[in-house]
Amino acid sequence: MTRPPSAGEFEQIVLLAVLRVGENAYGVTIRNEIAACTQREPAPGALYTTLDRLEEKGFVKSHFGDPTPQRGGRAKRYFAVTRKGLAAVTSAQKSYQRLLEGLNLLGRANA
Amino acid sequence: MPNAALAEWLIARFTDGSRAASAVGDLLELTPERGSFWFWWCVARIILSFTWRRLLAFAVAYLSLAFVHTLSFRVLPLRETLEAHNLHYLALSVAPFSAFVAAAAAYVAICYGLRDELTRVLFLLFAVFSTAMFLWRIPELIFANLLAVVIIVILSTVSPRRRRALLAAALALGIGFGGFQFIRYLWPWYLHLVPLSATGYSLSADALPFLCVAIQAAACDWAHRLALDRTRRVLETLPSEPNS
Repeated sequence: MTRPPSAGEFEQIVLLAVLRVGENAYGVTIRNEIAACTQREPAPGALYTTLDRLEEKGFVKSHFGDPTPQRGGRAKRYFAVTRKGLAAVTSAQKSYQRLLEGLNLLGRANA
Repeated sequence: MPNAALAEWLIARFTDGSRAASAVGDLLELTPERGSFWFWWCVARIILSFTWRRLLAFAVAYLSLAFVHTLSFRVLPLRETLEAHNLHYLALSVAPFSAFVAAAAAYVAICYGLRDELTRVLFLLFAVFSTAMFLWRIPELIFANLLAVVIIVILSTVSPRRRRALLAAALALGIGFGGFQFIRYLWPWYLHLVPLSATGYSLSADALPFLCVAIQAAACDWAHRLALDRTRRVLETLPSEPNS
């Protein structure tokens, strides 16, 4: 029996950003959301290869929108988290929560 | 404004055209506030992120091929020993084939990961062939190897995905090793046309292993795409069961 694919740290960040942005999730908005929440701008190459990898794993699905003149007639590639992706990120976050229990790290960081 | 068509063409060498177009479109949206230098810097980083894994895989595959070949023919006098036992054919086929299996396994492991079915099949085959090559004097081990091959084949037929992985391995190694044999057949003619330099150094002779690894790598990518990626996409597009 093969283990179900899991999401790495950056993959989880991208999945959460796609979830936060919602229907308008494409390269620029996902990148902006990650930068706003983590205070770190992701490398463009890393973002696209991660989105491709997430799509290969079945965690996100993508479709192309209509071409826009602002983008030189190039279409946006919109992303949406699949049920499998949602399960993977939820499972990973639950693990983090269990590990954090009793440590009071967040309280200390805010102190 | 930067030359977006050129950027798109460059990125499209490493991914499909529509993805390259959307990535360049994303960069164009931000270019007015960040400038042309940022645009080209991002294009370079996108290309690097699409290629670094394959470049690394190619280098490791080359080193694996060179290592197994050197170990079998330079460090251990395998050719002389096998020829002394009238096993000339074994020396000329199994040992180089084992080097090709090592190169293919290393390449696929880096490109597609250790969990990939093709990687697992290739590593199993490498274990079997390398054991057969280096420990051929022990009949029990040869028998155990043959048994292992039979078990691998039987286990591979249990699930469709493993069957496809075995097919991918057969295709990749068949094309890789067949390509090598074909090049080796043509090589004397080529060397006849391209004479050695005054120092006796031949760049073309050094290029042979590079060419072999390039063919093996291309064969692995093609076989993986054909037998595993495409089938996976077809299965994903099929409607799922209502109660699943």
